[in-house]
Amino acid sequence: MSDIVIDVREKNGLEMSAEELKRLHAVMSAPGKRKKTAKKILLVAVNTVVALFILLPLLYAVSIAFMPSSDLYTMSMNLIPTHPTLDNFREALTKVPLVRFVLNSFLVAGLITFGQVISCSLAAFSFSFLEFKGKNVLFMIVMATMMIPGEATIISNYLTVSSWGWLNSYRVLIIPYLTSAMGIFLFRQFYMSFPKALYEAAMLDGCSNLRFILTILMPLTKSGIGAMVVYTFINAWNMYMWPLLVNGSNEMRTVQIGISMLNSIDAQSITMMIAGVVMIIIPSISIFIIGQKQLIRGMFSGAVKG
Amino acid sequence: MSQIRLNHICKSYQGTDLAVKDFNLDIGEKEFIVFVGPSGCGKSTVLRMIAGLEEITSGELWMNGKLMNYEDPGKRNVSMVFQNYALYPHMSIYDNLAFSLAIRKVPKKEIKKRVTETARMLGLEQLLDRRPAQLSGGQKQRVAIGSAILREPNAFLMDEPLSNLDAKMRTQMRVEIAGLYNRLNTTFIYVTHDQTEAMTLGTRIVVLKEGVIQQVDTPQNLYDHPASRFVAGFIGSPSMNFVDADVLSDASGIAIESAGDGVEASNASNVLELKLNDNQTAILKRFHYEGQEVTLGIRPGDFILKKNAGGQKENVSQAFPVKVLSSELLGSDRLVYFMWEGVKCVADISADDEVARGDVIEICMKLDKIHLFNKNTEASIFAHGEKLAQKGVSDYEEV
Amino acid sequence: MKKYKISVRSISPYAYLIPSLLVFGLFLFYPFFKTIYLSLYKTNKMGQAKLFVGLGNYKDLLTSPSFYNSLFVTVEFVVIVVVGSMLLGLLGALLCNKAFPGIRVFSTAYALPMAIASSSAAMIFRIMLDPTIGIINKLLKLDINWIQDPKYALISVAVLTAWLNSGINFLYFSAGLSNIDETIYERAAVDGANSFQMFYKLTLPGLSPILFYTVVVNIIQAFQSFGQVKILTQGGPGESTNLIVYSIYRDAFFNYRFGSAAAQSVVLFAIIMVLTLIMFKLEKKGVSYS
Repeated sequence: MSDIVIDVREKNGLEMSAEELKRLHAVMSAPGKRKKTAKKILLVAVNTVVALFILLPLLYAVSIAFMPSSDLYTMSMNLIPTHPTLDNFREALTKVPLVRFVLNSFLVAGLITFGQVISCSLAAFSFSFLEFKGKNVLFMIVMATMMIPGEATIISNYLTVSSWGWLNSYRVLIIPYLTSAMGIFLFRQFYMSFPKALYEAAMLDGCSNLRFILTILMPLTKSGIGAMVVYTFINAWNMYMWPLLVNGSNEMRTVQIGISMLNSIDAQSITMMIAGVVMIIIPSISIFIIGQKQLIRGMFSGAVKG
Repeated sequence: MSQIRLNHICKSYQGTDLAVKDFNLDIGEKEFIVFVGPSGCGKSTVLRMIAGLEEITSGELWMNGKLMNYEDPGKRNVSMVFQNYALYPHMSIYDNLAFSLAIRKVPKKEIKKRVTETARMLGLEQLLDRRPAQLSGGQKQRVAIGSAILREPNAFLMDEPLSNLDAKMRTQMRVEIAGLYNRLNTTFIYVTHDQTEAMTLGTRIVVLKEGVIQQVDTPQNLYDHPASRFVAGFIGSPSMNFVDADVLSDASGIAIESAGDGVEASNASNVLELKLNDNQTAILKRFHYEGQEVTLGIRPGDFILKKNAGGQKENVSQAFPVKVLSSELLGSDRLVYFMWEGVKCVADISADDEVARGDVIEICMKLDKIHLFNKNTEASIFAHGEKLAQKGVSDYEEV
Repeated sequence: MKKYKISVRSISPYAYLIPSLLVFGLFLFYPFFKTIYLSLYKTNKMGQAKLFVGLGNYKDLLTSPSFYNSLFVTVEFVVIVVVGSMLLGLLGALLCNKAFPGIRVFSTAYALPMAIASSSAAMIFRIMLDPTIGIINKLLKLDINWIQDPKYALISVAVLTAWLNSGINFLYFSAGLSNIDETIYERAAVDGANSFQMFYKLTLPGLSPILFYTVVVNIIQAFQSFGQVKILTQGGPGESTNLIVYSIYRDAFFNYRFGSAAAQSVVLFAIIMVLTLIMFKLEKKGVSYS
C-alpha cells in the first residue's frame, strides 16, 4: 500500500492517468475519512453515555412506575420491570384525586401565564414607547424586584393573605404571580429593538395604544411570548413552597403538593407514588419539548444579545 | 511547475447543484491572483477549498506537486485573512499576532522579534497591549494581515478583506496591500466582488459567475478583450453599454436600427451604419455572421463628441445625434446619459465639454474599440473568434 | 376637548403599568417592608407583632449556633450545587457544540431537568438513594444510607439540586458557545491549531463573558432551594441540611417564631441583593469582548 503512495506521489498531477488519480484519491483520503468516522462515532457514544446519565432519574422513574412492588423489592439489579403493569397508575389515580390536582395546576399555571404575558406586555409597552415622568425611576424599581427573593417575603405574604381570608382559594395561588420583572425586561428588550417610527406611524393611522399592542407588538414578538409562556408555565406548574403554605384543602391543591401526599415510605405505595410523579411530570416535559426552540430563541436572541 | 494547481475542482453541498464547476487554474509563484465575481459566484468557496476549510467534492488541489485535498488546513502552509478579520477577542493584539507562532512552540524571543518587526511594518506598535474591540476597522484589518504575514507562508489567502471598511479606508488599505505584495514577493490569492480592487491589485484575474470560470487574464486584457458579455459588463466602471445590432450582409459593417431616441431622425433610412476594419470583417466572415443579429458593446470612454473627433488618429464612426437625459460632472470627467436603441447608455467625455440635460449632442464611436457578442452564447465574437481561428475552426455555430 | 385629550395622554402611560405595579406593590414591596418590620418584633402565634425588640432577633441569630450552622451548610450546599450544575451544563453544551446525527435529541435531554419540579425530582431521588432498594447503591455497589447519614445527606440534596439546575446551565453555555465567532476557529485551523489548542485558547476564554453571569445566577438560584429539602431530609438528619430557606420555613411555621424567621429572611435578602448587584455590575462592565 505504502509503495503505491510513493509511486504516484513522484509524478506530477498532470502526467497521471485517470486511473492513477483515482487510486491516489482513495489512498490519500482514507486516513481523513477514518478519522472523521471515528470522531463521529466517539461523539455519539460519549453523548449517549452522558445523556443516559442525565436522564437516569427520569428513565428510572418511568421504569419503577411500571413495576409491581415485588419487582422493586429485590436485592438484584432492577432497571427494567420484569412484569410491567399499569396498576400503579390506576392506583395513583384512585388513591388521591390526581385528576383534580392536574386540572387545578392547569388552571393556575394557565392563568398565571396568561396574566403575566398581558401585564408584562402592557408594562413593557409603556416603558419602551411612551414618555412620562418618573419612567426611569419606575423601571429601576421594577428591576429592583428581581433582587427580592420570593422566599424572603413568603412569611409576610402568608400573614397578609391569611389576614385577608384568602387561604385555600385559587386566587391566592394566582394573583401574587400575575407579573414578573423578568418578563417586563424581556419584552422591553424586544420592543426597544423596534424603531419608534413603528409606533408613530400607527398613531398617525389612528391606531389606539391597546390595538397597537394587540395587533402589532404582540404578533411581532411571538418568539419572546413563546419563551415567556414556556418558562412561566413550567415554573408555575412546578411551584411548591407557596401552594404548600397557603392551600390545605384537597379541592384547590396543585399537583406538586398533591403528589407529595403520596410521599410515604409505605412499601406498597412507592411504585404508585412514582407512577403519580411520572404522570405529573409529563405535562411540563411535553410543554418544554414542544416549546424548547421558542424558549431558546426568545431567551437568548431578545434578552442577551438585544 | 506551478505552485498551486487546481484541477477540475468541483464543489457541491449535500447533493445540491454544483457551487463550483470544473475549476481549472494554475497559479505560479509570486502571482497576485484575484477571484472576482458577483456574490454567490463561488469565489470564496474556491478560496476556502484551497485553505482546507471546505472539502473538495471532486478534482485535485496540488501545491508544490503534492496532493493537498486531504491535508489539514494547518498543514498547507497558507495563511488567511477573513472578511470579518476573525481576531481572537479575548487576546491582546500582541497575542493575536503571536498566536500562530505560539502554538508552534516557537521560542518566545523569536516570537517577540517577529511580532515587533511586523507591528512596526504595519504601524501597530502602539496598539500591542489593546484588545481587538478597542481598534478601528482599519486597525483590525492591519492586525489580521500582520498575523498572516508573520508566519511567512507559501501563499496568502484573502477573503474580501476590505469589504467591511468604509470607502476611504478601503482605498488606503488597497494601496497598502499592493505595497505589501511588492515587498513580500509571495503568492497572493485574493477574493473580492469589487472590480476596482481586482483591476488595481491583481496580476491575473479570474472572473467567476455561478461557479464557472468566465475568463482568466491580466487586468489589461480583461478590460480590452473581455471574453464574454458578462465579463465585459462586470469589468470597468461605469459599465460597458450594450445595444442590438445587425451585421451587414457583406460583413463590412454593422447596422443599428434607429438613431438616438427622442431625436428627429437625421438620415432617411433611420439606420446607423458602422464600417468595421478589415480584421473585424474577416472574423465575421470566417464565422459566417453575415446578416446575423449581434450585441454591440462599447465602453463609455469609447464614445467621442463629434466636434472632438477630427483630431483623432483612430478609426471613428459617423456621428449620430442623441438627447442628453442627464449629465454628471466627476472632476475631470463628465458622464452623459442618453437613450439609444431603447437602452440607457452612458458616455464618458471630458469635463471641458459642457453638456446639459436636454441638449442634443452628436457623438461618434471609436470603431477599433467596439465589441460584438454572439446573441446566444454571449461570447465575444472578436476575442473568441481570434482564439478559434488559431485552432482552425471556421464555423460560427461553434463559437 | 383638547385639554381632556392631553390629560388622558399624560395618565395613560401609568395605566399600562398599574397591573404590574399593583402586584409588585402588594406581594413584593409591602411584604418586603413588613418582613423588615416583623424582624424587629417578637410575634404571637398568629404572626402579629407584639413586642418591639429592636435588633433583638438579629442578636439572637448571631448568638445562635443553629443559625451559623444553617449559614454554613447553605454555603457548602451552594458551592457543591453551583460547581456541579455548571460542570454538567458545560459538558452537555460542549458535547452538542458541533452538529452530528441526533444532536436535537441529546440537547433536549441535557436541557430537560429544567422542566422538572424540585418536589417531583426529590421523590424520585428518594427512591434512587434508598439504602436497600435504591439504584444508586446497587449500581455503585455501596451500602450507604444517603439520606439518613449526616455525612451524605447534604451531598445528596446538593447533587439532586445540581441535576435540576444543570438544564438551564446547558442553555446558558450553549448560547455562550454559539456567540463565539465561528471564523476564529477557521483562522486558528489555518494557523495550525489542533482541536485541543482551540478548546483551551478559544472556547474556554470565549465562554468567560457569560461565565460570571451564569455563576451569579446559579448562586442565587441555589440559595433559594426549598422543595428538595422539605421532601428529602426536612433539614436533617440533625441540622445537616437545614438550609436557610428551610430554616425560615421551620422557624415560622413549626416554631411560630415569625420575628426570627423574618430576621433570617432579611439576611437572605441581603445576601441575594449583594449577589444581584454584582451581577448587574458585571453585566454593565460588559465582560463581553465585542
